[in-house]
Amino acid sequence: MYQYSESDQTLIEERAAQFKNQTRRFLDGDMEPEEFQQHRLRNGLYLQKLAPMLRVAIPYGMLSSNQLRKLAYISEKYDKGYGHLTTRQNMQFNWPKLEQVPEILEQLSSVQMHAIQTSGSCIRNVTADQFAGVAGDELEDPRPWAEMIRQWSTLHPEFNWLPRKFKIAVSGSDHDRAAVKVHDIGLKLVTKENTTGFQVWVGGGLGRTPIIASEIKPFLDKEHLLTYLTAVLRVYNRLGRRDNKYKARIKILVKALGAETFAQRVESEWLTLKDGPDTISQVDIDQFKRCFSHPDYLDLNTKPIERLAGTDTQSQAWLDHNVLPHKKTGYAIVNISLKNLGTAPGDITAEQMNLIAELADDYSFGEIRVTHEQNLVLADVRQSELLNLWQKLKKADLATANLGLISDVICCPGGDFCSLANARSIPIAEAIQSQYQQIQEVIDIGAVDINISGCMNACGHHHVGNIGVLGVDKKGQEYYQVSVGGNASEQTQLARILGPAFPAEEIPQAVDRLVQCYRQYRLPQENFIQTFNRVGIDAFKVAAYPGIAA
Amino acid sequence: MNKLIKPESLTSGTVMISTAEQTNQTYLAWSDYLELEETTLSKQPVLLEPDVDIDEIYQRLKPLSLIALNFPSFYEGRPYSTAAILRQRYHYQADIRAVGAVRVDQLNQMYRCGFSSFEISNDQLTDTRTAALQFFSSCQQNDSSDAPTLANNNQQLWSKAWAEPNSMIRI
Repeated sequence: MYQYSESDQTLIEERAAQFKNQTRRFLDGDMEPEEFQQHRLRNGLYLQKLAPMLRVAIPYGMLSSNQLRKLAYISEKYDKGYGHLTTRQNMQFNWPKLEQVPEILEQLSSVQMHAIQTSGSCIRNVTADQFAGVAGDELEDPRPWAEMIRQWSTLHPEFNWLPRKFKIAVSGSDHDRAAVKVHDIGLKLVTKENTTGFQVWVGGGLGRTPIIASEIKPFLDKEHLLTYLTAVLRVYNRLGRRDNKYKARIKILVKALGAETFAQRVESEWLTLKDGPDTISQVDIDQFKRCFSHPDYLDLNTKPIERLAGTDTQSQAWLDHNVLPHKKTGYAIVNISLKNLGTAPGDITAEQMNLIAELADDYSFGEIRVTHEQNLVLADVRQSELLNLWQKLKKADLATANLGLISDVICCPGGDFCSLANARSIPIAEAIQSQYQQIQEVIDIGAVDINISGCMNACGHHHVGNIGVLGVDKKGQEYYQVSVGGNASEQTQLARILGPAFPAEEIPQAVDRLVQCYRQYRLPQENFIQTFNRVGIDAFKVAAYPGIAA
Repeated sequence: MNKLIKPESLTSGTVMISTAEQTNQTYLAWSDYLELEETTLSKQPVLLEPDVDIDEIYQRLKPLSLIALNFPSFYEGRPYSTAAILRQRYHYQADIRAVGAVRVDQLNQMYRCGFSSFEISNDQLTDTRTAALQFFSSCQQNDSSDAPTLANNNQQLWSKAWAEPNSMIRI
């Protein structure tokens, strides 16, 4: 984990103190609501339907056990005893009181946490691969780079008033677990002539206008990362549309200019900045990497584990689906699914947070990761401890063996909480999950991503779900548009809308008809998205709307 | 009524509100400015709107002792880049002034982008509001606040040093 320096610590304390002053002035009528809105958003605070919502940054998804305990404490003291993990690896509290938010920020700063730039038209919390540093297919650990971007973008004086929000993701592996092509800037570590650098993708995004990013730089030397990012941001800050918030994201600018012209503008801007003060030296890079603590692995000589002691089918399903190979011999990556039936996807109670913090201390070097699929990871577990860990997770209802399977539904808070939503999303997730509770059937269906968003802002990433569900408002009634064929991996694909929207009560059956369609057409070893890509959308249209001629 | 915070009141990153003075300065719009004779130019402060293409017009601006950049709203972001470009790319050393919806909470950001004076409305300068200036003792990126200007006599851009690993705090 990155450990804060004194100046990192001072900065977040100072921002918390500044926000306290801003909140005080707003409450005293000494700051216009319109101005306070911009300052509070830049500090992760929304005023929602029922209460304010505070979004706490978890940079690139990394948490220490003490940080997770602090989140548990905050959820109990200032909220209703739970938190919600988002698709951008952050944690949201849905019930804090505005007057208490400055105090919450002070609590957060005591464990090197904050809510800076988790909202507002600025550079948002940077995300990365949840398996950074432990994945076998990794070229280079993206976290030092993500941390460098975090620091560089934090309270950046030039880019705090962008036309719209700006999201950056970094991936260091062949297999893209950070969804770099649906970010404003996606950085992928690649090799060229034995050195690593960045492939730069720009202008991806979901929301109202989903667009897959364009590659504007096939290889950027690492030393130029910050000058190049400055160039992209500067071009966007100057030329991005400010007259219409729905046309203000960088993706619209890239599309309007054309990716090639946009890339040329960035290039000429960059040439004025290249080799300037923001150039990163090898000394800087080495120093930065040393600011990360590393797990103190043992030299183990055990073979990959194929079954846990005993013949329990539940533990076997968990081992098969939630436990992934680790690059270090003798260790395994353990995923904790937060997609248990009866709990909103991504929700976690204070009790569970405390327990997982304890398990992290006992089994995984005191570290936890948050995934953009809204689950948690204990990334460094010794294989010999897997059975013990499973038993403890099982006891706490945290051993649901469905990682990447159909009941591992990705879902935004939706109309139950969010004032932007057109429809509720949590009850839809639950209705879908409830029909896939037989573990053998879930395993037979195999890998399927279902993504649900309550409005076109797409926090549930429905555009990249194998099956996407979008809440829409039809004359005051909640309806849901279903799309198929999205893919958030390196073969990024946007889902295509099937046809007319369904009322809420018909969604579970409609989804199941798509699943049965896949089962009917699939070849051996083929998963949902592979079948879809081979068969095409028409078969799924016919299945989704029985009785209507194709 | 507005007050003006001038370059002389900016020392080592601190915006000195106490030295602000009343002002009723008027500015020429860029379109009006273009119609004036070359000889009268340097006496007339010019006010540039956010959509100005600074690269296109810089040669005309170069002799001016003051360039004012307008903030039609407090959430306007383009003048920050314009000021940074003036300092970093063109090494403009005279005064760059923020005019319009200038808010105390944003003075530090403006200053760090290279603005050297601020025209700000009187009601912004209450004690509770100007307290907002005191919050930050350091920053996490390079900026233009130490760019050479006529007011500060600096020789080169400051370069941020990353944190030393041995200063890291364990929690």
